[in-house]
Amino acid sequence: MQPKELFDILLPGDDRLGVPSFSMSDSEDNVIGFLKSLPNGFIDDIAHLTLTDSSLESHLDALKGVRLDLRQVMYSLLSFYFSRPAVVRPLTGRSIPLSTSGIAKF
Amino acid sequence: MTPDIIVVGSGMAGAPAAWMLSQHGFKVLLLESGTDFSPAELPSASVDWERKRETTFNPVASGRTNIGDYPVDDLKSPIAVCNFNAVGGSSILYSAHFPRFLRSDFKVKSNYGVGADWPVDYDELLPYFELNERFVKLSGKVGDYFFPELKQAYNSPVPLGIAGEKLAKGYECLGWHWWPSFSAINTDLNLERRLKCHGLGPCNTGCPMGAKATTNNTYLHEGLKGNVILKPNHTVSKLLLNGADVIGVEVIDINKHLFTIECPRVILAAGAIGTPRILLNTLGHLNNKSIMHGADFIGKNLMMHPLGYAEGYFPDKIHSDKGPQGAMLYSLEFYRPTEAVDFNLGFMMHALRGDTPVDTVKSLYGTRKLVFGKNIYPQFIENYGHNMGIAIICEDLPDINNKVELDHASLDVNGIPGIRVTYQLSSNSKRMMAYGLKKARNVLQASGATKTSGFGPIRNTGWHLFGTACMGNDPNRSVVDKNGAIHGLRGGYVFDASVFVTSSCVNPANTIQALSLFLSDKLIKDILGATKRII
Repeated sequence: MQPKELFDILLPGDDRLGVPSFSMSDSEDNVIGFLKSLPNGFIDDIAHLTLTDSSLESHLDALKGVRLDLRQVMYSLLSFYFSRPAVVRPLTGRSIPLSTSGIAKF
Repeated sequence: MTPDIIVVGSGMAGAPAAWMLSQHGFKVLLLESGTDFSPAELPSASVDWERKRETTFNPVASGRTNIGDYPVDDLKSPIAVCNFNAVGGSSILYSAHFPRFLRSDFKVKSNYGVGADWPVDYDELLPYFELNERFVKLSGKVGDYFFPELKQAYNSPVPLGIAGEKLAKGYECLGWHWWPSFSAINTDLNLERRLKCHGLGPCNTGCPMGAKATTNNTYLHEGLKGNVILKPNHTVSKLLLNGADVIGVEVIDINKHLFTIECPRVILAAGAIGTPRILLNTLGHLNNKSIMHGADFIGKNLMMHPLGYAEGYFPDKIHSDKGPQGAMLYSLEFYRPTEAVDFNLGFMMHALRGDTPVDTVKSLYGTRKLVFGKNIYPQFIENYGHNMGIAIICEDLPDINNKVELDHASLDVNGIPGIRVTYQLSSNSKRMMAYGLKKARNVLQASGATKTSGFGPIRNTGWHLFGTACMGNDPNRSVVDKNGAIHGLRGGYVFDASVFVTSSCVNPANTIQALSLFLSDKLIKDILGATKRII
């Protein structure tokens, strides 16, 4: 399994709320840029995972076998995804970047 | 330009000193190890503002490798060192909660039999608190009985919002003290370089609008119009001495050029980690270390504000995502508890608004409550804007075993030793924090929170750092005298929080600046013989 597939399972989006999935949350370049920032060890570790059982729980269970510090990868993923304007705006009603009233001059 | 005075560090202490000295015609060279970030470069002006808190704008010193940063090993401390090396220093990232130290904070030994007394008292600082508050356009409400001498604010208090109003009712219900925050945030005024706050929230990732007073948009802005020359990306490695006379500094620029600047007076204002680093590096190159009479105390008596955090969850949305995160209200009910307690001194309850989007999900993930998949979205909505917190800010006491030292095994890019921190929470702090967390949960429950939790110390909260070049009258028990002059040297001074004798339990920014102005004024009048004062 590739990280993009996994992350789309973890963060599938919500059509009703207008929230995109992980891979649709930003431009392709930015999504690829994030994926490239992942540690090689993580990508190697999940390469052997398959999509034979599509339940979320089975994928999360499989991730427990990942040797690398999974928490750091998940924190990075959450930081990226929940920073995307396309995700935050429908969930919070707030625009990002938050500073829309001007920038001080000094 | 041949400077009359060199100031090292452009943050909370250095910038006010440079400004005040420049007002009297002194040519001031202000050396700053970090970069000069423009407002547009601050995180909340860009999409990835929350992610930048983990890299360039990470407040944790050991998590950052910007220009001007140096290695900080704080693994032997439950609290991580937080600061920021840039033009403006930590004022770029602080929350702008801006109370004064209280009168009795300066006489802790006399009043409570622990710690030590300052050689400076509240009345001496009072005019400088007033000057500073005028300069930053203090926002707040006059009348808190804990601050009877505070007679003027220049902006209305930051609006409490729904969250603050709920919390205030909780305090009222319990009959406990609370007051709207004093802050350095423009809530009414709308100036060119300091626009009116519109409640973004994340002040601690920098304020591109300038609503928050930093040293950049206050003292530096004014100082640079006159006799202050600012040099970013210039790291001072040590003082240069000729016998006991300070004759200048050794500097390394961004291109790693090492050179010296001659000057008969040098003020160190690099903070309670950066300043002892320079002093210890200076000391390391001296044959006769006894020149600096208080050498044994450099880096010792490190104080922090151990911080516990209680959080409340409210079933109704309280919009706690809106408004300055660290400026809402505070309580000094337990500044000096009236009921019997098993600890000395006390703490402030500092109300904090709710989490940002990323922090909301990271907090859920960190506590193993986050559900991935379709359910993550309703879970986010149920939590975002529904929580708020109370920080228990504990007054710390000096302890000779809590210290910073040079770390010769870990050098910065210029080959200068980094810093190793050794710090333990005292048993007094532990008891105080446990008590404080219980009280904070009580008030959150009284405010309507249906779920509360409390934990501490919180690691990444070591913002308030003090005591590593302590001020005192005894040259063998302190590093500087009551004028900030380094015992034994002529022309060397420390004007930052390193000189603090005790820590109070309130945010120190206002007091750091007032003290720096006070010491600068003394330098002008008493040592340089200027004919008039600002005050």
